[in-house]
Amino acid sequence: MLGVAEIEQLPVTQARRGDAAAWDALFRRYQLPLYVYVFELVRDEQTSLDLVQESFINAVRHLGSLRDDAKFGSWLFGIAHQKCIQRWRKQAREEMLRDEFAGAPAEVEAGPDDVLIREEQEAEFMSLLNQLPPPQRSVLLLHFVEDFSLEEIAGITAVSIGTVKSRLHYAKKALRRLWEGQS
Amino acid sequence: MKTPRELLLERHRGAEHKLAAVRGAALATVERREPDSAPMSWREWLRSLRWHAAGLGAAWLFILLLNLGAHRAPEMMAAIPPARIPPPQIIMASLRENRRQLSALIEPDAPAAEPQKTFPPGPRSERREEMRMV
Repeated sequence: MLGVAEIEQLPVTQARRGDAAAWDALFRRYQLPLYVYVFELVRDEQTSLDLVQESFINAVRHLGSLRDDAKFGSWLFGIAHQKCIQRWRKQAREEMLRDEFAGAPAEVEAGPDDVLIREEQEAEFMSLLNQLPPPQRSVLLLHFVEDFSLEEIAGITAVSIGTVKSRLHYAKKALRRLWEGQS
Repeated sequence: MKTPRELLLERHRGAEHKLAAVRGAALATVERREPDSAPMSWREWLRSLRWHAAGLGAAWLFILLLNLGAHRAPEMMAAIPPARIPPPQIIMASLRENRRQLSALIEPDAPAAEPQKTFPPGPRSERREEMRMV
Protein backbone atom coordinates (compact mmCIF):
# COMPACT_ATOMS: atom_id res chain seq x y z
CA MET A 1 0.00 0.00 0.00
CA LEU A 2 1.32 3.43 -0.87
CA GLY A 3 1.87 5.85 1.99
CA VAL A 4 0.07 9.16 2.17
CA ALA A 5 3.22 11.09 1.56
CA GLU A 6 4.16 9.19 -1.59
CA ILE A 7 4.94 11.51 -4.47
CA GLU A 8 1.68 12.76 -5.94
CA GLN A 9 1.04 14.58 -9.17
CA LEU A 10 -0.08 17.87 -7.68
CA PRO A 11 -0.83 20.77 -10.04
CA VAL A 12 1.58 23.15 -8.31
CA THR A 13 3.13 24.40 -11.56
CA GLN A 14 -0.31 25.37 -12.88
CA ALA A 15 -1.12 27.01 -9.54
CA ARG A 16 2.00 29.15 -9.89
CA ARG A 17 0.49 30.54 -13.08
CA GLY A 18 -2.65 31.52 -11.16
CA ASP A 19 -4.81 28.68 -12.50
CA ALA A 20 -7.91 28.67 -10.28
CA ALA A 21 -8.74 25.02 -11.14
CA ALA A 22 -5.27 23.97 -9.99
CA TRP A 23 -5.72 25.82 -6.72
CA ASP A 24 -9.12 24.23 -6.28
CA ALA A 25 -7.56 20.77 -6.70
CA LEU A 26 -4.82 21.60 -4.18
CA PHE A 27 -7.30 22.96 -1.65
CA ARG A 28 -9.54 19.90 -2.05
CA ARG A 29 -6.58 17.60 -1.53
CA TYR A 30 -5.41 19.28 1.68
CA GLN A 31 -8.46 20.90 3.25
CA LEU A 32 -9.48 17.99 5.47
CA PRO A 33 -6.01 16.81 6.60
CA LEU A 34 -5.05 20.41 7.31
CA TYR A 35 -8.28 21.02 9.23
CA VAL A 36 -7.72 17.82 11.27
CA TYR A 37 -4.21 18.92 12.14
CA VAL A 38 -5.22 22.44 13.11
CA PHE A 39 -8.34 21.34 15.00
CA GLU A 40 -6.47 18.77 17.05
CA LEU A 41 -4.03 21.48 18.08
CA VAL A 42 -6.36 24.39 18.80
CA ARG A 43 -9.49 22.41 19.78
CA ASP A 44 -11.93 25.00 18.44
CA GLU A 45 -13.95 24.59 15.25
CA GLN A 46 -14.29 28.22 14.19
CA THR A 47 -10.66 29.02 14.98
CA SER A 48 -9.59 25.96 12.99
CA LEU A 49 -11.66 27.01 9.97
CA ASP A 50 -10.22 30.52 10.18
CA LEU A 51 -6.68 29.19 10.39
CA VAL A 52 -7.19 26.84 7.43
CA GLN A 53 -8.54 29.74 5.38
CA GLU A 54 -5.66 32.00 6.40
CA SER A 55 -3.20 29.23 5.51
CA PHE A 56 -4.76 28.81 2.05
CA ILE A 57 -4.69 32.55 1.41
CA ASN A 58 -1.07 32.76 2.55
CA ALA A 59 -0.23 29.86 0.25
CA VAL A 60 -1.77 31.75 -2.70
CA ARG A 61 0.18 34.90 -1.83
CA HIS A 62 3.53 33.27 -1.15
CA LEU A 63 3.68 30.29 -3.50
CA GLY A 64 6.61 32.02 -5.20
CA SER A 65 8.74 31.29 -2.13
CA LEU A 66 8.24 27.51 -2.50
CA ARG A 67 11.33 26.12 -4.23
CA ASP A 68 10.38 22.47 -4.64
CA ASP A 69 6.89 21.70 -5.98
CA ALA A 70 7.01 18.21 -4.46
CA LYS A 71 7.14 19.78 -1.00
CA PHE A 72 3.91 21.71 -1.37
CA GLY A 73 2.16 19.61 1.32
CA SER A 74 4.76 20.09 4.02
CA TRP A 75 5.10 23.76 3.07
CA LEU A 76 1.34 24.25 3.49
CA PHE A 77 1.32 22.43 6.83
CA GLY A 78 4.26 24.63 7.86
CA ILE A 79 2.16 27.73 7.20
CA ALA A 80 -0.71 26.28 9.25
CA HIS A 81 1.67 25.31 12.05
CA GLN A 82 3.00 28.86 12.23
CA LYS A 83 -0.58 30.16 12.35
CA CYS A 84 -1.31 27.85 15.28
CA ILE A 85 1.77 29.08 17.11
CA GLN A 86 0.76 32.69 16.51
CA ARG A 87 -2.67 31.87 17.91
CA TRP A 88 -1.14 30.23 20.96
CA ARG A 89 1.08 33.22 21.51
CA LYS A 90 -1.92 35.46 21.39
CA GLN A 91 -3.49 33.36 24.08
CA ALA A 92 -0.31 33.61 26.17
CA ARG A 93 0.26 29.90 26.19
CA GLU A 94 3.83 29.87 24.97
CA GLU A 95 5.03 27.76 27.84
CA MET A 96 3.02 24.84 26.46
CA LEU A 97 5.25 24.75 23.39
CA ARG A 98 8.43 24.14 25.33
CA ASP A 99 10.05 20.79 25.21
CA GLU A 100 9.24 18.68 28.18
CA PHE A 101 11.74 16.06 27.30
CA ALA A 102 15.47 16.19 26.92
CA GLY A 103 18.07 13.56 26.17
CA ALA A 104 19.27 11.63 23.17
CA PRO A 105 16.76 11.27 20.35
CA ALA A 106 15.43 7.79 19.95
CA GLU A 107 14.70 6.08 16.67
CA VAL A 108 11.07 5.94 15.58
CA GLU A 109 10.20 2.31 15.70
CA ALA A 110 6.76 2.17 14.12
CA GLY A 111 4.96 3.67 11.10
CA PRO A 112 1.63 5.54 11.30
CA ASP A 113 -0.33 2.53 10.13
CA ASP A 114 1.18 0.22 12.72
CA VAL A 115 -1.36 1.46 15.22
CA LEU A 116 -4.76 -0.02 14.50
CA ILE A 117 -7.78 1.08 16.44
CA ARG A 118 -10.92 -0.93 17.03
CA GLU A 119 -14.25 0.84 16.80
CA GLU A 120 -14.89 0.69 20.54
CA GLN A 121 -11.46 2.23 21.19
CA GLU A 122 -11.84 5.23 18.89
CA ALA A 123 -13.11 7.65 21.53
CA GLU A 124 -10.39 6.56 23.93
CA PHE A 125 -7.73 7.09 21.28
CA MET A 126 -8.92 10.62 20.61
CA SER A 127 -9.06 11.38 24.29
CA LEU A 128 -5.53 10.07 24.80
CA LEU A 129 -4.28 12.07 21.84
CA ASN A 130 -5.67 15.21 23.40
CA GLN A 131 -3.90 14.51 26.67
CA LEU A 132 -0.50 14.77 25.00
CA PRO A 133 1.37 18.07 25.26
CA PRO A 134 0.97 20.17 22.07
CA PRO A 135 4.54 19.71 20.74
CA GLN A 136 4.18 15.92 20.89
CA ARG A 137 0.61 16.01 19.62
CA SER A 138 1.76 18.14 16.69
CA VAL A 139 4.47 15.73 15.49
CA LEU A 140 2.23 12.72 16.06
CA LEU A 141 -0.58 14.26 14.01
CA LEU A 142 1.78 15.14 11.16
CA HIS A 143 3.08 11.58 11.29
CA PHE A 144 -0.39 10.02 11.40
CA VAL A 145 -2.35 12.31 9.09
CA GLU A 146 0.08 12.88 6.22
CA ASP A 147 2.90 10.42 7.01
CA PHE A 148 5.42 13.22 6.64
CA SER A 149 9.10 12.26 6.93
CA LEU A 150 11.11 13.36 9.98
CA GLU A 151 12.82 15.96 7.80
CA GLU A 152 9.49 17.34 6.63
CA ILE A 153 8.09 17.44 10.18
CA ALA A 154 11.24 19.25 11.28
CA GLY A 155 10.66 21.78 8.49
CA ILE A 156 7.00 22.23 9.39
CA THR A 157 7.53 22.64 13.12
CA ALA A 158 10.81 24.58 12.71
CA VAL A 159 12.83 22.32 15.03
CA SER A 160 15.77 19.97 14.45
CA ILE A 161 15.31 16.40 13.22
CA GLY A 162 16.67 15.21 16.57
CA THR A 163 13.93 17.08 18.40
CA VAL A 164 11.31 15.59 16.07
CA LYS A 165 12.64 12.09 16.71
CA SER A 166 12.59 12.70 20.44
CA ARG A 167 9.07 14.14 20.43
CA LEU A 168 7.71 11.37 18.24
CA HIS A 169 9.33 8.69 20.35
CA TYR A 170 8.01 10.06 23.61
CA ALA A 171 4.58 10.79 22.11
CA LYS A 172 4.20 7.20 21.00
CA LYS A 173 5.52 5.96 24.32
CA ALA A 174 3.12 8.20 26.24
CA LEU A 175 0.21 7.16 24.04
CA ARG A 176 1.03 3.52 24.55
CA ARG A 177 1.36 3.98 28.32
CA LEU A 178 -1.98 5.77 28.50
CA TRP A 179 -3.53 3.15 26.24
CA GLU A 180 -2.28 0.30 28.41
CA GLY A 181 -3.29 2.15 31.57
CA GLN A 182 -6.86 2.51 30.34
CA SER A 183 -7.17 -0.99 29.00
CA MET B 1 -10.03 -1.72 12.48
CA LYS B 2 -8.84 1.73 11.38
CA THR B 3 -5.52 3.48 11.11
CA PRO B 4 -5.12 6.73 13.09
CA ARG B 5 -5.31 8.64 9.79
CA GLU B 6 -8.60 7.02 8.83
CA LEU B 7 -10.01 7.62 12.28
CA LEU B 8 -8.95 11.28 12.38
CA LEU B 9 -10.24 12.08 8.90
CA GLU B 10 -13.50 10.28 9.51
CA ARG B 11 -14.14 12.14 12.75
CA HIS B 12 -13.83 15.49 11.00
CA ARG B 13 -15.58 14.63 7.75
CA GLY B 14 -18.63 16.51 9.03
CA ALA B 15 -16.71 19.77 8.66
CA GLU B 16 -16.33 19.32 4.91
CA HIS B 17 -19.26 21.55 3.96
CA LYS B 18 -17.75 24.35 6.06
CA LEU B 19 -14.38 23.66 4.47
CA ALA B 20 -16.01 24.07 1.05
CA ALA B 21 -16.90 27.64 2.05
CA VAL B 22 -13.33 28.18 3.25
CA ARG B 23 -12.05 26.87 -0.07
CA GLY B 24 -14.39 29.21 -1.95
CA ALA B 25 -13.09 32.22 -0.02
CA ALA B 26 -9.49 31.22 -0.70
CA LEU B 27 -10.26 30.71 -4.40
CA ALA B 28 -11.69 34.22 -4.55
CA THR B 29 -8.21 35.42 -3.54
CA VAL B 30 -6.74 33.47 -6.46
CA GLU B 31 -9.21 35.06 -8.88
CA ARG B 32 -8.48 38.52 -7.52
CA ARG B 33 -4.77 37.94 -7.99
CA GLU B 34 -5.07 36.66 -11.56
CA PRO B 35 -5.03 40.08 -13.26
CA ASP B 36 -1.72 40.84 -11.52
CA SER B 37 0.02 38.06 -13.38
CA ALA B 38 -1.75 38.75 -16.71
CA PRO B 39 0.00 41.13 -19.14
CA MET B 40 -1.10 44.75 -18.74
CA SER B 41 -3.37 46.17 -21.46
CA TRP B 42 -2.63 49.49 -23.16
CA ARG B 43 -5.47 51.18 -21.33
CA GLU B 44 -4.23 49.95 -17.96
CA TRP B 45 -0.70 50.98 -18.84
CA LEU B 46 -1.84 54.50 -19.74
CA ARG B 47 -3.96 54.68 -16.61
CA SER B 48 -0.95 53.72 -14.50
CA LEU B 49 0.95 56.67 -16.02
CA ARG B 50 -1.76 59.28 -15.41
CA TRP B 51 0.01 60.99 -12.50
CA HIS B 52 3.31 61.09 -14.37
CA ALA B 53 1.52 62.63 -17.37
CA ALA B 54 -0.16 65.24 -15.17
CA GLY B 55 3.19 66.20 -13.57
CA LEU B 56 4.94 66.47 -16.92
CA GLY B 57 2.05 68.56 -18.32
CA ALA B 58 2.30 71.00 -15.42
CA ALA B 59 6.07 71.31 -15.91
CA TRP B 60 5.64 72.02 -19.63
CA LEU B 61 2.96 74.62 -18.92
CA PHE B 62 5.34 76.41 -16.52
CA ILE B 63 8.11 76.37 -19.12
CA LEU B 64 5.71 77.74 -21.75
CA LEU B 65 4.65 80.61 -19.47
CA LEU B 66 8.31 81.49 -18.80
CA ASN B 67 8.98 81.44 -22.50
CA LEU B 68 6.09 83.79 -23.24
CA GLY B 69 7.41 86.21 -20.59
CA ALA B 70 10.86 86.25 -22.25
CA HIS B 71 9.32 87.09 -25.62
CA ARG B 72 7.55 90.07 -24.15
CA ALA B 73 10.79 91.69 -22.77
CA PRO B 74 11.82 93.53 -26.03
CA GLU B 75 8.29 94.86 -26.31
CA MET B 76 8.62 96.28 -22.81
CA MET B 77 11.92 97.97 -23.76
CA ALA B 78 10.26 99.46 -26.80
CA ALA B 79 7.51 100.83 -24.60
CA ILE B 80 10.03 103.16 -22.79
CA PRO B 81 10.03 106.66 -24.48
CA PRO B 82 13.41 107.44 -26.18
CA ALA B 83 13.58 110.84 -24.49
CA ARG B 84 14.00 109.14 -21.12
CA ILE B 85 17.10 107.15 -22.20
CA PRO B 86 20.25 109.25 -21.43
CA PRO B 87 22.97 109.67 -24.09
CA PRO B 88 25.98 107.26 -23.97
CA GLN B 89 28.42 109.98 -22.74
CA ILE B 90 26.36 110.57 -19.63
CA ILE B 91 26.09 106.84 -18.97
CA MET B 92 29.92 106.44 -19.30
CA ALA B 93 30.54 109.41 -16.97
CA SER B 94 28.14 107.98 -14.46
CA LEU B 95 29.92 104.62 -14.60
CA ARG B 96 33.33 106.26 -14.05
CA GLU B 97 31.99 108.19 -11.09
CA ASN B 98 30.58 104.98 -9.65
CA ARG B 99 33.95 103.25 -10.03
CA ARG B 100 35.77 106.13 -8.32
CA GLN B 101 33.34 106.09 -5.40
CA LEU B 102 33.74 102.35 -5.07
CA SER B 103 37.55 102.49 -4.96
CA ALA B 104 37.36 105.33 -2.41
CA LEU B 105 35.16 103.16 -0.25
CA ILE B 106 37.47 100.14 -0.50
CA GLU B 107 40.75 102.09 0.11
CA PRO B 108 39.77 105.33 1.86
CA ASP B 109 43.49 106.42 2.52
CA ALA B 110 44.74 105.73 -0.96
CA PRO B 111 44.87 108.68 -3.35
CA ALA B 112 42.12 108.86 -5.80
CA ALA B 113 42.82 106.62 -8.71
CA GLU B 114 44.30 108.52 -11.55
CA PRO B 115 43.16 107.73 -14.98
CA GLN B 116 45.58 105.40 -16.71
CA LYS B 117 47.92 107.18 -19.09
CA THR B 118 47.92 105.91 -22.54
CA PHE B 119 50.70 106.50 -25.03
CA PRO B 120 49.74 106.32 -28.62
CA PRO B 121 52.26 104.16 -30.53
CA GLY B 122 54.72 106.07 -32.68
CA PRO B 123 55.06 105.65 -36.39
CA ARG B 124 56.86 102.51 -37.55
CA SER B 125 59.57 104.55 -39.32
CA GLU B 126 60.94 105.75 -35.87
CA ARG B 127 61.43 102.18 -34.70
CA ARG B 128 63.45 101.37 -37.76
CA GLU B 129 65.79 104.29 -37.01
CA GLU B 130 66.41 103.05 -33.44
CA MET B 131 67.35 99.67 -34.77
CA ARG B 132 69.79 101.15 -37.21
CA MET B 133 71.53 103.14 -34.45
CA VAL B 134 72.04 100.00 -32.33
